[in-house]
Amino acid sequence: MSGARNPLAETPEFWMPGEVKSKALVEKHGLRVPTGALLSPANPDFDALGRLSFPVAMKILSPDIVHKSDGGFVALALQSVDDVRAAFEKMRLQASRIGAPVQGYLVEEMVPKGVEVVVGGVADPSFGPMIMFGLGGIYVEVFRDVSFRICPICRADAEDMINALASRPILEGARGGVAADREALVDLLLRVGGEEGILMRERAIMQELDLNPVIINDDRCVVVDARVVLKESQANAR
Amino acid sequence: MPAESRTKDFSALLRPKSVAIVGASANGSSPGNRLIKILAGSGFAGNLYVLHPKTDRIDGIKAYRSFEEMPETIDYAFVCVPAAAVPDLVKNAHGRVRFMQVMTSGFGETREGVELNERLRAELRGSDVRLLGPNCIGMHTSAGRIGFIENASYGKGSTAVVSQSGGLSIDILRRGQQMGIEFSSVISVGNSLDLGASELIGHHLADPDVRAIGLYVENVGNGRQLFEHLRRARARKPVVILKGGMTGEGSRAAASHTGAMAEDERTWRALADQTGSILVGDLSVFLNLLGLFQAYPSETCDMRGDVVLVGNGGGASVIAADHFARQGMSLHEFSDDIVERLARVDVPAGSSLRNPVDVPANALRGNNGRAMSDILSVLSESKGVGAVVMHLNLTVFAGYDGGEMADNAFNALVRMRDRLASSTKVVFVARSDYSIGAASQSLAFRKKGIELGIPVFDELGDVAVALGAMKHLSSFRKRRGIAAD
Repeated sequence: MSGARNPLAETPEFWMPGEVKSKALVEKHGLRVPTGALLSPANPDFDALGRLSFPVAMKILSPDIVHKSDGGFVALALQSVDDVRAAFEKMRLQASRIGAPVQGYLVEEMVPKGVEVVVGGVADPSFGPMIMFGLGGIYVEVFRDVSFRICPICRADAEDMINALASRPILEGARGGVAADREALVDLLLRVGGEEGILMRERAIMQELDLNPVIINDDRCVVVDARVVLKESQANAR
Repeated sequence: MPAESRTKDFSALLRPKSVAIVGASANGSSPGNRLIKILAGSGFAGNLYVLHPKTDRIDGIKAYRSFEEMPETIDYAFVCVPAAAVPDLVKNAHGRVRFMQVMTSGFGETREGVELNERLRAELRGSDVRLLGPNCIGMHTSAGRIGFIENASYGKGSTAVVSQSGGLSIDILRRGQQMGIEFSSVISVGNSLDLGASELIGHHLADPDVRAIGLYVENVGNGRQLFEHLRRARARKPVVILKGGMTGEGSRAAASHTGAMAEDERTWRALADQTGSILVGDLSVFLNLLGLFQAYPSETCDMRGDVVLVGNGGGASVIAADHFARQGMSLHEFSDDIVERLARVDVPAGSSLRNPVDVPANALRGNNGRAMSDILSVLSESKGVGAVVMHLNLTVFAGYDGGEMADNAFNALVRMRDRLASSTKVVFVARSDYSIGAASQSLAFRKKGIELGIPVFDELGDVAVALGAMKHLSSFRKRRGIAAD
């Protein structure tokens, strides 16, 4: 990917429903996403943040801004509504300076540190929906240490997907790390790629799916970021 | 005609009673004439027809002007007319021909043929003809006595192969038969415009007469169907997939990390991992596995326990131990009782009677040449052995007595196999230095071995890979609680 222009920047917005819609779709299929609120650029309702548990994170929603953290468009560990206000002002200035259109600001409760995994989906032209699993960060991006299966997967497939990873010892808490709950992982994979999972049930419309990262804490899996890419036929139909 | 209402009964294809050849020429030089010749020698006992627009007889067979003129419905028509004539031929075959195999190329595989391909597709939509090809070599079926090479054998094989490449179909059949593999069928599907690999594999999986399946595939139009057939079959029969074109294409254009990571190899690996199929990337490995699975098909394709190595060549057995370890198999440790009894066998110094059992060729002359037989009868009582692998360096044996000792050792192995439970696999490695004498003796062992139900390999590494694949299949079934057929 290095050096090449990011194809996302040229992707029509309607092919990629954006983080808020993507997360709503994911949540509809029984996956947990962080509790959050949306601030509009013009009339931000900061009072609505009162129902959230702090600390929270905030990020900008703009089709022009892909690498949010690089440009200062992500603020983490905000402890109060005042912190959010300050970060909001800063981001708004930054965005207007580069002339990026802003759809909103997503404020979400921070998810405690845990094991970060990546779960994805892709519609293969011949085999149909496929699910991918890997460990977050360098394990997926640098080592490409992932396992794929054709959907729907059964429990044994989910177990095999976990066992197939070279980075599996890390998942199991090697070198004093935190071990990910095995049952929770299997359940996560089945909710994405199983008979009743999101990839099978949305296969008519879904081209690609990235849940990156999903953070696992004890037996809780939270989808911290989600990206859905719709099939071309769906996009054209809009 | 909708695909689901068209025939899925493949008996007319695999055991045709009426065959028509379209495209044989009056001067006798086309692939059609070649098929007429092949059928004359294959023992084909059905009715043979020829379709030709002008000539009255071709190679002594009465020629008809159309399918309609022929006195019966044609089970299998082989077509090698020019591409432009194929769509009309399909149109006229409606209701008259059950299966049609089109050898002719120049359709979807070329830029110029795209339009013609669409015309052919349109004709098929309105037809009840099932079409194989276009752009394929033909079909070999032992029960039907149809073939695509001269001097093929039409035995009682239970190994079925589907191949997307015509040339490779020939290699598979020729080389496989040299190795002693008896094929029930080898079908070349070419472009798979109608009948493709997925549907044929589905048929083979359901056919009780087929006990091992091989597939050569480059890309499959309906991978989902293949996946579903294989998954439903629950790995009861061994399926070997030789996948070509695995590298180079790279990943598709994708907007997500997942999309960018989805390469062809990962997809096929996933298919194999989920269905217990065995994915290979090399013709030799493909055929070696089919050879092994011919001896140990369906329910007997099961590998549990450790390996016993016995033969001549110290270094060769040490390397073999590494090969087996890489496949997750270890060498069997003999019990004290077995070790003690082996020690009483009359062999000269220089032999190692621990596993790997290394017996120099001259040592086998011990006890009037009965040394190997004595060793094997002790070994056959060792418990928990998954496989006994005998390896002989034929070149060394030839130096002693022209190879008679090697024959004796092999015969001792056959006798041992007859004493053992079928859960212990018995294989033979006929190593040679590629000198004509040793190489032809090795090949003779291959044929003889496979006839007697003992798979024969060239090298120890080949055995490790083949038994490793069998072990992989066993552990897949075990993990998923599947009992073999």
